[in-house]
Amino acid sequence: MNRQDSQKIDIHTTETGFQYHRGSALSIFKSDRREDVAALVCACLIALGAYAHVNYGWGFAHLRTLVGL
Amino acid sequence: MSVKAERRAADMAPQPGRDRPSALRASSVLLASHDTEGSRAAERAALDAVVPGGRLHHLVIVPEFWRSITGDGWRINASTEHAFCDYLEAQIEREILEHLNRVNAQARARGIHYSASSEHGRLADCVVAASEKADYDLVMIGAPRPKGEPGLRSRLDLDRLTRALRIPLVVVPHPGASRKRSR
Amino acid sequence: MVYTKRHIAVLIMGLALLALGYCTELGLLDDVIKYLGTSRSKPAMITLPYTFGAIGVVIGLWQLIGLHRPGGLDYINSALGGALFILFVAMLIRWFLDPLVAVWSRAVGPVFGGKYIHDVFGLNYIVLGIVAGILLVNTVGIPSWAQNGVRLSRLGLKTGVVLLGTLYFLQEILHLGTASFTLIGIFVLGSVGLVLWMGRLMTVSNSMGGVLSAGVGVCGVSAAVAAAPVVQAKSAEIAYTIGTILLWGVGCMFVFPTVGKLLHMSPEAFGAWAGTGILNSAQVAGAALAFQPDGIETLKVAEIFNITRILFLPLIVVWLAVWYVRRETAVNGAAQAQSVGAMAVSAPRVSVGRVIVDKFPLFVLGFIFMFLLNLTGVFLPKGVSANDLWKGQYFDNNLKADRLLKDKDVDALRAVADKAKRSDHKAALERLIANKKVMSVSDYHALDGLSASGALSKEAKAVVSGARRSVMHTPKIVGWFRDWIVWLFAFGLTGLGMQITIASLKQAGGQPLVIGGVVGTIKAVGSLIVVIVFAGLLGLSTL
Repeated sequence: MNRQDSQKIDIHTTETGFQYHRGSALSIFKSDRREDVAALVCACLIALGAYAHVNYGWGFAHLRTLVGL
Repeated sequence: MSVKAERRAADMAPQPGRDRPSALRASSVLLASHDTEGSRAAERAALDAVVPGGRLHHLVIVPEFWRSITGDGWRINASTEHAFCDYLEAQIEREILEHLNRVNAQARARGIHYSASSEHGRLADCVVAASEKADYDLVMIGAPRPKGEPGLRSRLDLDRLTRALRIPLVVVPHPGASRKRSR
Repeated sequence: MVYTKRHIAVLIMGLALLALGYCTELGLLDDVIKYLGTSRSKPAMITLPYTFGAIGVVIGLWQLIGLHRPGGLDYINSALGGALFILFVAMLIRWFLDPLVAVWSRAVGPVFGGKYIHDVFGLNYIVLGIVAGILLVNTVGIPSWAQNGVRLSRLGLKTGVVLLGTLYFLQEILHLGTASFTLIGIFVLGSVGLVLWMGRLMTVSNSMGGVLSAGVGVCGVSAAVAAAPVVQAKSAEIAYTIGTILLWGVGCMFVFPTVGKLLHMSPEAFGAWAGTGILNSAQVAGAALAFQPDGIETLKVAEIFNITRILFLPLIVVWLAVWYVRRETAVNGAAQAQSVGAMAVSAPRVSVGRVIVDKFPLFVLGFIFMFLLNLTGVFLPKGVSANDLWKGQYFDNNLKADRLLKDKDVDALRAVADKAKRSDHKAALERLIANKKVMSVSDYHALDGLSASGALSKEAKAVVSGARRSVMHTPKIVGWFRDWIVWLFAFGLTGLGMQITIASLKQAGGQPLVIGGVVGTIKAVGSLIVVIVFAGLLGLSTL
């Protein structure tokens, strides 16, 4: 199918053409495996946070004292 | 109402034995269809209705449900989803172009000036928006398919359309309806 | 294009969360908490709203008054509002709606064999979250400022699965892995084959057969989406197939937990059944948490099955690619060249290696990484090594006096002391009587053997069981991981609910509905029978 065959068929008259909603958040992870890596980083951060809390007592109360509330 | 419009209205008024859409005559028609059996009937009726040398604008609407078609597939990698979306968009475009080219060929054979465009969104809103872009005599659409007929579920909100349209609307009966009656 | 919207909603949400935390801390909500019976959640109802309320206020102010330029930072900023929105909904449901439903359900009284409505139908915060998401998107719609963030729910679920890796122990992974590879192998390959066969019988196109078999056989929409470009599916075929899978999945999420409860299935058996029988992987997690909202055992089993399915996906996509090329070549009569490692179709070229690399889910490696990290014993308390671990728990018999055996317990054990036949059992029991606590890991196992031998009286058995329990401890950090995992899944599944539109469910139809319905039912019923009948063989407990 060649678009030139149908001279008056203006298939992209709309601004977005046929693109349907993909969610721009997806674009953060547009290339390859960033989303999976981001999940691993998030999990590591949570694990680190839980580790610091259990072993060193870091946590919400600590943060509150630091902020002075 | 202009003289031209009055004449067309008189042409379109139901006459004994001539209540088929082919009895319509118009010089500029907006046809909204998307390659279903019902809309193919509307296409035939529109091609019959436009006088030689007249104008037929074909509007193809990609329904809104495609937006959420990946649903809750959470394990789709971003790259896989992009590949899928690219493929789906290209596939929809391929199918539409195939369809438009077929109608284009028929229109040319009848000496009708044919043009086409596509929109994505709520069906009724797209038809209303397109109807206001040029001076059309009427809008033609296919009737919803009767219950039990296969097809994608994307109904045009007729109530919304008829309230907002400023030009006459012709709804062409679905071939399945007469099949059902004959059964 | 700038995606961040200058909208006050995120700021208001942040302030509302701070107010919730403040009111809870001041005790203004104590009556409500008492009525709902959620006093155990009170600490979380202070810390979480404060933390995320503060984050919401910062992001809200940034969105309102910050300068937004196109780029990565703008993407992230635009998505955070939506993420906070999902979290907000999830919090309201977990702390207020879920307990409220339970209160109402208890007020109605037991209906099904002494069970309450909310218990039988699994109406807990997970299911209610998904339902709330579905209702929101299909009625008022997701607000424009939140739309970008809704897709971050996927990140929440993946993070949850990666973190879940910390909760498994080696023996568990080995026995669940064997069971899952066996069951998934049989049912995935079986249902893919069955769909292709039925498709041939009903003369559906090759592309529809391909996309449907991936969806019904492997893991629902994710697989259908991966397979569609490979088998050149038509748009209507995609819509029918995905609609069918979504409809089936939403149905399964409610039916499976109900059936599981009515059949009194064990968390392990239910996890295995849901992991095999439910098509869509999101709904596997949903059903597992719906079945057991207060524990994580079902989810652990179900996710191993889920991950096994995920590992099957690249293989199935390659199989379908080869199958599609063969069928199309046969139909078209064109002798398409098949180069080594690459298959040529009329239009697309599919590289086997590339498909496997592309479709391999990297986050599964994250899961394995976390599992290995846990095996090293890094999450154990000081002074405890990985060798002290047994089924995720560690041995520590430094007990406070009140946790030692009481005199009447010792008397109960003395009464049966001569019943032990094996010398190691006898020695372990004597040491338990003398020290009033279990003295070593080997004694722990020996007492287990003694208990199972049937030599003990009912009373003595209970004492031994209590003594064994008191020396095995779950690392404190595991409790934290569990809480986080449950929140991540609640967040992810509520967000996924917001992506299920009735419009897409309504596309279920045509031949895919017939084939999907038949194969889906066979898979669900077949896996239920296999799980129940062969539970022992598969190493799954049924109690």
